[in-house]
Amino acid sequence: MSSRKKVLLKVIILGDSGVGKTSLMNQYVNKKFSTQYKATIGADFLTKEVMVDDRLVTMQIWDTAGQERFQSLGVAFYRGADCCVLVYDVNNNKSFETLDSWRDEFLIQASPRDPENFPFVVLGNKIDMEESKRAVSQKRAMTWCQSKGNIPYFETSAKEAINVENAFQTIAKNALQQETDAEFYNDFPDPIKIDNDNSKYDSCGC
Amino acid sequence: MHDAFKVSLALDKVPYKIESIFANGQKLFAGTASGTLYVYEVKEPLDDEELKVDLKETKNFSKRPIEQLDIIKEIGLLISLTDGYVNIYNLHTFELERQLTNTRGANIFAIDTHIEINEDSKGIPIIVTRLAVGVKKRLLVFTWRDTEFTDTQELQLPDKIRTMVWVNDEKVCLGFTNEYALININSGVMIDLFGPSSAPGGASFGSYMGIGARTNKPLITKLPNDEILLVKDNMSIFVGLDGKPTRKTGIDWSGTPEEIGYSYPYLIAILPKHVEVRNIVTQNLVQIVELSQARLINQGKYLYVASFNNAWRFIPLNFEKQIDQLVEQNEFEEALSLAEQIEPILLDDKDAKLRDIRRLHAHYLFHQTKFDDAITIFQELEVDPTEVIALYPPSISGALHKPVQRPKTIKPSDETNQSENNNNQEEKVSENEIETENLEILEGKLLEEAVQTLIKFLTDRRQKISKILQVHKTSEPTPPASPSNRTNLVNGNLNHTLKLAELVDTTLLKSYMVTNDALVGPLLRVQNYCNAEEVEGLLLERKKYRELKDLYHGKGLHRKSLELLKKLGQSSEGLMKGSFQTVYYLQRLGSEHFDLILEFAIWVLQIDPDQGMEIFIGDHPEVENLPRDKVLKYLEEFSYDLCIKYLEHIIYELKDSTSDYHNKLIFKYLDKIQKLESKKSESDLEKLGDSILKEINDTNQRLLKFLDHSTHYKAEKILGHLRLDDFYEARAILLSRLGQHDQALNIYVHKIKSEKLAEEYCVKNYIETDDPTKNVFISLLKVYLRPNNGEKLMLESAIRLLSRHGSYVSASDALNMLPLTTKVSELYQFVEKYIRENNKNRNMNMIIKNLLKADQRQVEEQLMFYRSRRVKIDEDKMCPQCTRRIGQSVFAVFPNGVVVHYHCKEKYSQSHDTSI
Ligand SMILES: Nc1nc2c(ncn2[C@@H]2O[C@H](COP(=O)(O)OP(=O)(O)OP(=O)(O)O)[C@@H](O)[C@H]2O)c(=O)[nH]1
Ligand SMILES: [Mg+2]
Repeated sequence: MSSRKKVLLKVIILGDSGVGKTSLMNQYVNKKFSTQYKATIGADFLTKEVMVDDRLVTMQIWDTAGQERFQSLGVAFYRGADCCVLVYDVNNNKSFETLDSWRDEFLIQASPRDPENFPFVVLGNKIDMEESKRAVSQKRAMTWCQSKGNIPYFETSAKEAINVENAFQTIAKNALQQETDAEFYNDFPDPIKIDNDNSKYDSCGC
Repeated sequence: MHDAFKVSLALDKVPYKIESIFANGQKLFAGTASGTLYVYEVKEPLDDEELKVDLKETKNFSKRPIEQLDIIKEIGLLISLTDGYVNIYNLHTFELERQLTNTRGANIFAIDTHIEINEDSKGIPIIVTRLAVGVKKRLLVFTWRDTEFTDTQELQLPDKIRTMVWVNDEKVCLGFTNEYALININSGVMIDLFGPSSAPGGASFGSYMGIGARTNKPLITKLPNDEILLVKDNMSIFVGLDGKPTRKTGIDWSGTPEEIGYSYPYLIAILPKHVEVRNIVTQNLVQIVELSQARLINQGKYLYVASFNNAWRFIPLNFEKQIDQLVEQNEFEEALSLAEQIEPILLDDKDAKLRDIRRLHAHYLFHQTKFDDAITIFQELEVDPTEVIALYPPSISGALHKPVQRPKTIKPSDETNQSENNNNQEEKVSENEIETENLEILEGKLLEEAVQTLIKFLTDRRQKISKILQVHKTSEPTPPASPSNRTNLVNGNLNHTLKLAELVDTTLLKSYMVTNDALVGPLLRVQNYCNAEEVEGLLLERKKYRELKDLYHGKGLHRKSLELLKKLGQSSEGLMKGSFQTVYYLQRLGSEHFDLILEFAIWVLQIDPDQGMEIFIGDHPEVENLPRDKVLKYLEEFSYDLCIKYLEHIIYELKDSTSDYHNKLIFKYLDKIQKLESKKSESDLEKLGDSILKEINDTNQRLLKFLDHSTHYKAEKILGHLRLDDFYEARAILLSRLGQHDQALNIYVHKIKSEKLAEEYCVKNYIETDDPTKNVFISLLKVYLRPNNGEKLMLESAIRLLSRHGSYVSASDALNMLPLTTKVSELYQFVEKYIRENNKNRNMNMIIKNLLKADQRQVEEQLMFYRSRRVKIDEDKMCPQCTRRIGQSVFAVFPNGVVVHYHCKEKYSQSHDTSI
């Protein structure tokens, strides 16, 4: 219904400090990587034009601060996001464990209309490091993603540019889907509400 | 609209036509057409008293009308314009002090008084008074410094002045018949405002110029903040001192204004039909006063309007009352504008007032179902969330809900109550009732919309509160709450903030239940301050068990959680049936809740041991860190199967090398096999026996594999426990671990009776050695050929071994052991193999020997080459470059054998070919 309109997709990247959010965004948009760590303060965004299903869309990728003391974004920031990217470091168990609360916090802040179907994408980053350092198995990550309603999962390396392009293509695609759905809602501002029904829950999860 | 002024008749039926009025303090001067000056004393009324005006003095100044009156209070002068002259009187005696004769023909004057501090006055402030007089096409300016008349200036003008106003201490705004101008009396520079020739800056006014066939009286009103209001026809325009318009829109009057005056903070205009009062900022009409034939205004603090024979005093109403009135009428923007304009000293706690108006405005908007607008204001004001939440029906606000009422007083609820304003009480009550009715309709779609907005508000609050609590957490001593900070969040102590946090989170949860219950889970899973009891009730009521579990988990009520999960898990239907949820939960509890884990693992292990085992072996760090010895002890009570599974997991997957566990696993295998065997012999059903047999086999295989694989068990200890009449294979492995190969081999040969296994054992354990006692093949030969305990001699086996692996055994050792009766032909294969092997070895060694020889030759040759390239330095050796002796100096040798001093080598090589 909006094929002629120019679309702007707002994508938000969340995850613990140091997992490589900024690096992933930089690799994707600028094809650059630096081994130096500079904590992100507040938030920062880059844009990139992408083709999704023969459609040119502009992706606005918001990189956020993982460090609590640098988080300064108001609730308004999260509203209107089309996709949320959750990043963890496969060599750091804690960064995986916190994905749950990153996801939950995001849902609360953004209050999307349909939280269970809001598009998330999970990236397990830094797979270029030695296998012996690996702390979170692919299987474990995938099980988690499945339990959260089949979130797409990618194992990436911002350093070696592994899977980065791929992951962001999926992000763009899912974001566009969300954007189109949101429009649909706006056209029909009175969505049918299934009342208080547990069957809405995915089969598994917590 | 509201009442800004109370209008009282001040002068009634003055005998002559009033031509001019001027008021100052209690004094009111009226100049008449007959040239008489009336001086009145006015007693400002308190509250509801009548205005009292007494005629004090009547002076006949002239036979001609007194056209204009003013005073110079600072030097006690009364100025009048009569008969084309400006006259100066003593303000108190009304004696004529001076007639400014050079003002002959004057039609207007204007006074400015200001204080100057400059070098001339040596820092002492002096009062400078300027009297500007318009005389035909000239402007005269008389100046007094303090009481001293100092000088007169004269400026030429293009036209006759019809009106003028001082706009600052050196600029006068002039009104001519058709245009306005600003003149600087010091420099004489004049700029036109909207004149026909003026810059396009005045174009907005120009369009009116042409239309006005009838030219009206020009009107100039000086406003605060260096603004001037100019009138053209029905239109007033705001300009600045630079002559540029200051606002986008002017005032469009209902008729042509006769006079316009400013009385803080309002604009008063005499229009053909009535007198209008307007808000100078919003320009909105504030009050209309019907006064017949009004034609003069005395602007400023003592505002009077006069007609031909009457004058009315406009007494400003108390600003607070005005504001209250506006608020009462829901004119919030007007109230706000008024409050903003009023000097702080005139309004009790102006900031609080402004805040309260906005607060009430927000309430009003809310009742108008403009939820977003209302909440935006609440958010900006950081009002106590309690107040906002109370606006919602009890399903959300619970006990906070008030049958809707606009807060009566404008004071924040926690501040001192205000008792005035009670006269309107009854009216208010009825109003409230209407609103109450309105609000009960907050349901269905409207409620949903309102709740969406509330969610926005609460998530925002939530974030702010959590930041504050974070600070509390990191810096334990409560940071001093700054008194200036009005926000309810920061104010107050930690306890208060925690209470708020609880209210906000709990209400947020309830809001989610109305519009988007999928967010309940996320809220309960992140750090939250929801009231556990209340939320528990809500969730139970709605059968939201998954969320209930999240709630318990978040509050650390693990036992409750687990009991719930157990109950749901054991029920025969529902989404939470089965053990999955419990397993998932227990996997994440960690060792500090070890007892709980054990307690609630029981029912899972009983109905589904495989699932139950996941509690202890699942791929999760918390699971990995459980105390293994205790888990084992616990599992032992269930079955050795579970024990074995657990031990296999920690040994194979988690690479645990604790020898106790390794030993234990072996014992468990053994136990299991024994138990199975006894079971087998008891059961007569063939089928059952088969499956048991299979299990025995399987376990045995695992046992052997483990014995082979693990290096951490204590073989002696296990050997000691091994039944003598069984587990031969296991025993053999254990013996081999202890290096007792002959015993191990004995078992293979005599107990297991497997030549093959014995041979395999030898191949596996053979180490190259010259010591025959360490050679396992010889050990095996011994088993075959030197039987003890009455075993049979096994010549064939020995010969088969020799013929297959003869090369590992030296011929002499073998022959020594073979019985003398052995036929040579039987040894053929062994000997052949042996000889072949020896030949092979010999040939191989020859090759190696010759290769090494060749190597040696090459090295010798190289040595010779290096030796041939020596140089000899002796007493006579000269450097060909500098022709001095080399002696003890550092030297260099070129490839062709030439020797030079080291420092000569560059030079030499430049002029000579030094290659070989
Ligand atoms: N080996 C390896 N290092 C990486 C990779 N991605 C990022 N890093 C390094 O990890 C560190 C942190 O990366 P950032 O991208 O700054 O991390 P961040 O998630 O943006 O951190 P915050 O801004 O604090 O939230 C840097 O030193 C990067 O060089 C990767 O794929 N492989
Ligand atoms: Mg960053």
